[in-house]
Amino acid sequence: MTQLLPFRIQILSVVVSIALLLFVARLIRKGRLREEYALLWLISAALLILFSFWREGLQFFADLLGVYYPPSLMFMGAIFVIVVFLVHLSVVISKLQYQQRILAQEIAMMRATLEKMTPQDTPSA
Amino acid sequence: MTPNPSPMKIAVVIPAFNEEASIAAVVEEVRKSAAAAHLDAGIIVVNDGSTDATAARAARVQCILLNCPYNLGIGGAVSLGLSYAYQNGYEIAIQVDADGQHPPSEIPALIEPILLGRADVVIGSRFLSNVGYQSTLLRRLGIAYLNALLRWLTGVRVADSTSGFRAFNRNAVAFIKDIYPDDFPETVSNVMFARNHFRIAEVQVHMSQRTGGRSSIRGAKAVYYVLKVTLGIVFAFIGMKYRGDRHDTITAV
Repeated sequence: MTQLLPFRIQILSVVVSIALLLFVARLIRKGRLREEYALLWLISAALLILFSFWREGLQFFADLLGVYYPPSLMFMGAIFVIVVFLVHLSVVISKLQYQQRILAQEIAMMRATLEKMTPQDTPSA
Repeated sequence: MTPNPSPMKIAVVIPAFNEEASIAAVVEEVRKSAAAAHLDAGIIVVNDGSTDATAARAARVQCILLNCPYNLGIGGAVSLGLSYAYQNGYEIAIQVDADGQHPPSEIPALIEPILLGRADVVIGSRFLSNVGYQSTLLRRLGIAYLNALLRWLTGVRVADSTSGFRAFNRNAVAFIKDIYPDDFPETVSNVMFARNHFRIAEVQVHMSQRTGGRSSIRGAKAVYYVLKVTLGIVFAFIGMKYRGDRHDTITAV
């Protein structure tokens, strides 16, 4: 099987992938990452580690799909996953903005009700 | 203008962002106009996170003052006023700008199509028969474009789809209060109303010149505005406007 990547870059990619995995694990342990995102990043890290060790794997899938230059398959896959994830994040942000607006409106209405109930000492908040 | 003393509770929503110069006068004028027409009107001032004395000025006049915890933007502010009106049992809601360009004396004319049961949404238009303040050429071109877009997409013919001087009946308020758009809310919400089979009517009103500030839409910004509002309208038309969870969506009756 042809040498896809030089040996040194293989070591580097293994190290970086494992570092990503450890970093994600740390974030989960500290409760700073929600499970649905944690899962995604764990799978990404696992895939990176897999293909760092199993170099022929990339060649295998490239041959399967008729891609002549195996690394371009990797780029395509990575870019696809990144774009999908960015769209997902935009959806999440849109939802958060909507919910935040509703929340702010609720606060304004509750504040007005509260001030009506205690006309003498209005809360300064 | 029928002189019949309406028993309906009417909410006059006034969104205000840094309008200390005009807010008190506008509230007073609305109150006088409502009293003159024997309307049971509640004036709701939505202070949209103003950094000037808007809240203090509004607190000194007789109105319901809603203070947003931060600046929501015109869409969020109007949405809040409409939600308040809906939750507190108002049957009609009117939107009036805080800068004094909308004539409160025209409120009875504005709500008449609703009182007569002929419309769900009434637009107070400044162009119907060339009465009153006409604004700049660029602005009129933009408005003509938006009118054409609305007519082409929904078949609704109006002379000024961008007018913020509008009246809604309770059904229309229930429909729009939570999904009231953030950007270019007047035109976009007109598309939403039309798409959901609300009846839109238009009455002619005499508008005055803006008392404070200039229009923020000029030059290169105008091009961006046109692109963005077109996108907003098209999204509203194809129903891609974010609506929160599905159970929040109220359909027209």
